[in-house]
Amino acid sequence: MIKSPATEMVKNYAAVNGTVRMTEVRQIMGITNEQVLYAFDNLKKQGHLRRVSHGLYQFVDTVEKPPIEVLDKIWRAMKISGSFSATEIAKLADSTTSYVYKRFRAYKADGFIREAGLRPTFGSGTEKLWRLTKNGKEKAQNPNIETWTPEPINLACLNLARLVCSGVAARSKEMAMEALAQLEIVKKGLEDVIDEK
Amino acid sequence: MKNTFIETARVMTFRESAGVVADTVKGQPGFMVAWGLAGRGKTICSKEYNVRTPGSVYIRVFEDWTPRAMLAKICNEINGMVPGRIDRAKSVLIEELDRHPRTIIMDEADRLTNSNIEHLRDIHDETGAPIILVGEPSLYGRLTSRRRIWERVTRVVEFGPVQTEDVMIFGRKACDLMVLPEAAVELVKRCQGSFRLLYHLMVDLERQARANKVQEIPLDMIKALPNRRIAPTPEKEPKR
Repeated sequence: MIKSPATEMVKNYAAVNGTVRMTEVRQIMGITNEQVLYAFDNLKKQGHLRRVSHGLYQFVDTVEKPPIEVLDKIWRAMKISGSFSATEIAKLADSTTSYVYKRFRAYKADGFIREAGLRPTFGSGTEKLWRLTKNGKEKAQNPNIETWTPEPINLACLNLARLVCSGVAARSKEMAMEALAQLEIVKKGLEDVIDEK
Repeated sequence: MKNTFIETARVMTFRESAGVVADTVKGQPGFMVAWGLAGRGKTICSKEYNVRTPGSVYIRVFEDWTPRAMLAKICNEINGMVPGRIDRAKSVLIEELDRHPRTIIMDEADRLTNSNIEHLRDIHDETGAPIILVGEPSLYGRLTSRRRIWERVTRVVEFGPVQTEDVMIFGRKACDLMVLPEAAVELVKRCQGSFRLLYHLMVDLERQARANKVQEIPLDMIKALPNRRIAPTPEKEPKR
């Protein structure tokens, strides 16, 4: 999916501030009225923005995505099986073993499943057994819920802007130090971008 | 052997009955029982039903479960909570099932004590959530001995022995083998009605068929299968 830059900007801004207004976003971000309307519309559809009163929107970091049937079935099959092999899950979820293996690789990397030994198969050697981890069991309760957090550089930028523009950093030594810490994060993030290019 | 789920007549009956029980309105009896001897496919069928039906919860009953352990496990499956007291667990369950009605599938239900079954009845009466009990035939006696429970059972599915057509479908779908009818009859005899034993026999047959490059399984091939579950040979007394 191609992400709209304006939508991503508004999403980050809303995530940092908690509540947002369209006029405020337009003035601070310097984007056009059409872009703001489009971004707000998109984020409302995605469930990331919820209208709380006239013109005021609240950011929702945890949204329930529409379920993908096969993935949903794989999660349910893993949830009801103590230890399981990819073939068992493929059979229960009405999928193919190769697709389930592909998902298993991703789930292992995310720490949702761990290896739980080997089991002999009849005629073809052994197959790996897996088990849900504690995180996996929690994820299996609501596999479609996704929590979104803004990029650290965006978060630091907005925090810095808030500290400097409000004048808090100029008045208190502690806040000035905090602003410097945020500046360091921004600096490091930008240096990484330059190094990559 | 291909990794496929064989949809036998019993699986179809199970799905249809579970669908009917799930549609039952609150206040009407909605217990369903599925019984059969070990290795008849009850567990795999109920697991498969749970995976394909989002509004259902699958619970495997453990030996010596107290009512608190059982209710906490159901709670945990539904909303992730593990309440420490029976009354708390029950009220959480009732609240949750009132909000989102779900079918509760209790596998190995023959291990449930009468007290546990009564707790399930309470949940069913309060919420109207259909309950499917899956277990060995000993479950029958336990349910019929309590009239209040037995009256709520509206559907019973029996997982009987493997049928000849099941063997033929299994051979075709899982192993790409054409099991001839007389061979299928012999296989049914050999596996004593158990799908588990049939699976092992089919693994042997598939190997033989691959080695001999044949697609059809005649009766002779079944008769030539070695018996891999022989009884222990009685030891003779040494001669003095």
